[in-house]
Amino acid sequence: MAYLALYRAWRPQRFEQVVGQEKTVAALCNAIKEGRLSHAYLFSGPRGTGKTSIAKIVARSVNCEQQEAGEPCNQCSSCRDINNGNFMDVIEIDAASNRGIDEMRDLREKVRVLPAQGKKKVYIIDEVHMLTTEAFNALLKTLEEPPDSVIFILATTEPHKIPETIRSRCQTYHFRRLTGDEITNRLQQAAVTNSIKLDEEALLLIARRANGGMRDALSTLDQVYSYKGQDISKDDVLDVLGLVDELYLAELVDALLAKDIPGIIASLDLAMSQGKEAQHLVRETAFYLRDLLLYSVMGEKAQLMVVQKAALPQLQRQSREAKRDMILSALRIMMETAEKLRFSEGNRFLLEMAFLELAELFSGQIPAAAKPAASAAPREKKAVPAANPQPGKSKAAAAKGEADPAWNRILAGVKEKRVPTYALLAQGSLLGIKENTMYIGYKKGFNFHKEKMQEKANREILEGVLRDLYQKTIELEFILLEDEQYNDIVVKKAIEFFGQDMVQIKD
Amino acid sequence: MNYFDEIRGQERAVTLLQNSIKNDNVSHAYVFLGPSGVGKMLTARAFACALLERDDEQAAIYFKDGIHPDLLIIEKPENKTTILKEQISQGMEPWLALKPYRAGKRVVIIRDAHLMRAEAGNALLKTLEEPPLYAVIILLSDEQNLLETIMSRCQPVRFFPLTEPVIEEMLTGRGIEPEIAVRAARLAQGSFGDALGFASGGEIPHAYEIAGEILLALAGGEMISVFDAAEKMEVNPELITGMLETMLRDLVIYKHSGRADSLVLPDNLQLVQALQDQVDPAKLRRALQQLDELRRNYRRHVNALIISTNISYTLWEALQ
Repeated sequence: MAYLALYRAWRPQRFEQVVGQEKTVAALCNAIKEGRLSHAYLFSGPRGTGKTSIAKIVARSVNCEQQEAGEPCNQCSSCRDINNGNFMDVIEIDAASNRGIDEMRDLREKVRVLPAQGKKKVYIIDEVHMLTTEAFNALLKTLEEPPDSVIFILATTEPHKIPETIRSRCQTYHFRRLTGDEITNRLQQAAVTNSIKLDEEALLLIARRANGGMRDALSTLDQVYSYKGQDISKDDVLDVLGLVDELYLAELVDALLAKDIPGIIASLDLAMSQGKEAQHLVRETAFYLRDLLLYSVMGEKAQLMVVQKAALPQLQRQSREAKRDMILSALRIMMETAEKLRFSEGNRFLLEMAFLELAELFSGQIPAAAKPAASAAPREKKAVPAANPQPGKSKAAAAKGEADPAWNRILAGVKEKRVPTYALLAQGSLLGIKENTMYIGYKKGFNFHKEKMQEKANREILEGVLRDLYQKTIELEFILLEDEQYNDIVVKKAIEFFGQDMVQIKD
Repeated sequence: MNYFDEIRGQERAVTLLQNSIKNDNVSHAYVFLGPSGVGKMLTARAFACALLERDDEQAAIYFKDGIHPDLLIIEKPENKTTILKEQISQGMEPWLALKPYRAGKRVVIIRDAHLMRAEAGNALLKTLEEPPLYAVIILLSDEQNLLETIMSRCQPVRFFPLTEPVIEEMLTGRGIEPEIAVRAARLAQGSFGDALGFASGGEIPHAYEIAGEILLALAGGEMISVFDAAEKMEVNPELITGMLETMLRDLVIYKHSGRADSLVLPDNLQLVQALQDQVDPAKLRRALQQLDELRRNYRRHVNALIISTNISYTLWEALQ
C-alpha cells in the first residue's frame, strides 16, 4: 500500500472523530438521526478545519445501510464505495476546475435523475467561491428547490465571495480555527500511532505554527518525520521549517535595543549562512515583536507565539525597556519588509536595511510617530471642503479678498462630484455673491465653457455644491467678460456690483 | 546513474527526498520553494527519475531523452506570462487519471508554479488534496505567493540560497577564473543561475569600474550628471545596478559600524571611505529599497534607459 500523507490517513471517518466544531457536528448528527436534513448546506471556514471531511461523513451517513445514531458504519458496501470514490450518487465537484455556466447547466440536468445506488444523491461542491457569477446564478433555481433525493453541500474558504442569494438558500455553518489544545491532542495521537517520539516543545511549536489548521499541523509533522525519522525534537522542527530559535530572536532584539550594529549584521550573517531565508527571519522577528508587545500589555496572561520558556527572562526585560509605540512602529516596518521581500531577489540587503532602521527606531533617532512617512507615505487625501461658511458674512468676506478660499472650496466640491464640470468651471472666476446670486465670469474666448456651464446638467451640480456649502439655494449668473483686459474688467464689474468701498485689489 | 549527485548545496532537500524514497513514505505532493537558480528543477528531475526508476529499470534511458511516458512537465506557454487554468484542468487532470504506463508512479512537475493565477491555482486544489495513489505532484516556486490552500496540501521542501564557496566551486568547475568567480558569487546572492550570468560575460571588472565612477560622479555632481550616469549604465544595466546596490549597502553598513570586514565587496573600501562623510544613511536605505524595486523592471518590457535614468536619479537624490 502506498504511503498516505498523515493528513489523509487521519481524515476523520465518523462524526465522533472530528476534532472541534462540536456545534456543527451535533447539529448535523441530530439532523441525520431525525431525518431532518436540509437540502443545501454551506460550510465556510479557514483551511484545515474539517469542511470537506464533515461533508464526506454526511454523504456516507445518509447513504449508509446500517447508520446508527447519525454515524456512518464505514463497513457496508455503500460506505466502502464512497470511501473509494466508486459510489455513483456521491458526486464531488471541484468548483475551481468546473467553474463555468456550462458545467452548472450540466449539473442541473443530472440532478433530476434519481439516485441509482443509494438513498440520496449528495453533491459536494468544493472551493465553491471559484464559480463564476453566471454559474452561481444558474445554480440558484436548483439550489432553492432541488428534487427530494438531493443534498447539496458547498464548501469554501472564502465565504465573502459567495453571493447573498446562494447563502440565503443554504444552511450555513461556520467552521472555526482549532485551538492549540485540540491540535496538540490529535498530533499526539498521530505520533503515537506512527511510533514517532515527539517532545513536548516540538509538539507545542508545531501546534502553534499551524494557526488553527489541522492539515497544516499534520503535514508539518509528516515533513519533520520524513526528514528526521522517529525521534523529533524542537530543533528538528525549527530546522525543517527553516525557523530560528527564540533565543536567537531574543538576542537579535537585544542587539537592536542596544543599537549594536556590528552585532546585528553578524547575527543576520550567521542566520543566512545557516540557510535561513530572509523572509522567515523577518516574519519570525515580527512574531517576536508581537509577543513582546503582548507581554508588555498583558503580562503573564499573554498567549505567546514564538517565546516558550527559554527566552522568557529576556522578553521580560525587553518589555520594560522598549516603548509600546516603538514596538508598534517596528512591527509595521517588519510587515512592510516582509511584503517587499516576497517579490525581491536582493533580499539580503533589504533585510539588513530593515534591521538598521529598527535599530535607529529603538535608539530613538526617529520619532516613532513620524516613522510611516519615511517608507510608505500614505496618499494624501483630497482636501474636503470645510462645511458651512456663513452666508450672512459671505458678501463682505468675498469682497475682502477671501473669495479665493471659498472659490477653491466650491471647485473642490464640484471636482468631487464630476470632473468634466470642474474643468469647465475652473476656467471661470468668482466675481462675487450678491443677494443670493452668484456671479461667475469667463474670459473672452471661453464662451464655450460658459455655455456648457449654463446647461442644466452642469448647472445643477454646481447648485448642489453651493447648497451644501451655504445651506441655501443660490442662483447662478454666468457673465462673459468681453474685454481682453480681463483683470481690469473683473475689478470693474466687481466694483459695479459691490460698490467702491467693498472692493480691495490684490495682486 | 544517480541524478542526485549533480545537485550542490541543497543537502537538506536531497536528504529529505532520498529518505522518503528509502522509507517508502513519498508524499503525494511537494512544493519546492526557494530563489531561482539554486537547483530546484534539477532536484525535481532527479527525484522524478528516482521514483520512476524503482519499477522501471529503463526509466533513465527514457528519461534522458525526456520522453518517459509517466513524467509530465507543465511550464508556462512561451507566448504567455502565466500558467493557464486549461493546462491544469485539461492537461494535467486527465493525464493523472490514467494509470502509470511503465513505472509505478506518475510524476507531474509544475515549473514556476508561482506563475499560476488564482484560477489555475484553485483548479489544482482538488487534485492536489487527494490525487490517485500513484500520483506525485511537484510544484516549483520562486516566490512565496502560492495560495495558502495549496501550501497546506503539499509538503514544502525548502531550497536555500547557495553559499558563496559552493557557487565559486561550481563556477571554477566550469572553467571560470577564480578571481571572477569570487566576485560573481558575492554579487549573485546565492543564485547560481545569476552568478553564471555575471561571470560568463567576463564583464565584471569593467562593470565594477563603471559603477564606481557613476557613484562618485553622482555624489559630487549637478542633476545633469544623472543622464550621463544612465548612459554609462547601458553597458550592462542589471549588473551595474547590482554593483551599485552592493556599494550603497556597504556605505550604509560602514557608516554605522566602521568596520572593513563587514563589507560585501572588500574592493569597495576605498570608495566607501571616500564618500562616507557626505552621506545620510537613512536616505541611502530608502534609495536601496527603491533600487531593488526599480531593478525588477529590467526583466519586464520597459525601456532600459528609462529605468537607468530613474535609478541614477534616485541615487543622485540620496547622495545630496
